Amino acid sequence: MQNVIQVFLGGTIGAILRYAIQIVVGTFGMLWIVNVIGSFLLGCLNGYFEKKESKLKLFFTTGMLGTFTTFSTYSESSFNMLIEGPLTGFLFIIGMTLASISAAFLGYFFIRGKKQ
Amino acid sequence: MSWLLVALGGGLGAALRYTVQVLITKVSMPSYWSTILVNLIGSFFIGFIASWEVNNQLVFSLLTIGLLGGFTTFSTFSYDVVKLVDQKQIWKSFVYVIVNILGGLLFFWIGWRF
Repeated sequence: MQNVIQVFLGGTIGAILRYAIQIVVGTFGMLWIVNVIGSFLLGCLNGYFEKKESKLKLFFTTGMLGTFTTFSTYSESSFNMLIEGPLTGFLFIIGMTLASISAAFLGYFFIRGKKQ
Repeated sequence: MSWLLVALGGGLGAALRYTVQVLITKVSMPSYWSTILVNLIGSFFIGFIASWEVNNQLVFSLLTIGLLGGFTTFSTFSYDVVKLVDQKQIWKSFVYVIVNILGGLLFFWIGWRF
């Protein structure tokens, strides 16, 4: 039960941050910012928590960053862009996926370092 | 008011996503299956809501941005790929990416036409 509460509280903060960014830069800019930065930070945190146990892990990872980033709006935007212009939509889909995965890689290996 | 609804929806979405993760682990399936499940289900429902064509700020804050935004996740998706590649499961990581992306588009469309 304590775990669910941690995840819930982290989720409220992640959602508020994402909403604030959406209000400032709009949906398209928001998707790039939250998904790339959120993937980078989740990579960093997972690298960090591998070396150091923490009771707050779920709050930050599954709760805050899991909620800060979003897939549902990404699917919706991808779908709409594909209909309006297949090439733009395709580039958007590939671009965001590669950027976010690369960011998670960088964050994770930057913090974790080489395995002993 | 909309901020409160976003926070509430986001918290609930995260708690639900965590519940799916715990259940998937309980039946001994790899945890990336829970990411696929939440992203496909979330994409279905966002398509479903998009088809209502209502412009209601409450629905938008609570359900679209809060609940579904929080239930689905892109960072865990990215990190799942990192883990798969780190375990040298290159082909599996490719298939995993394709399933999430094409599945998300397909389920959005199904929800929209539903």
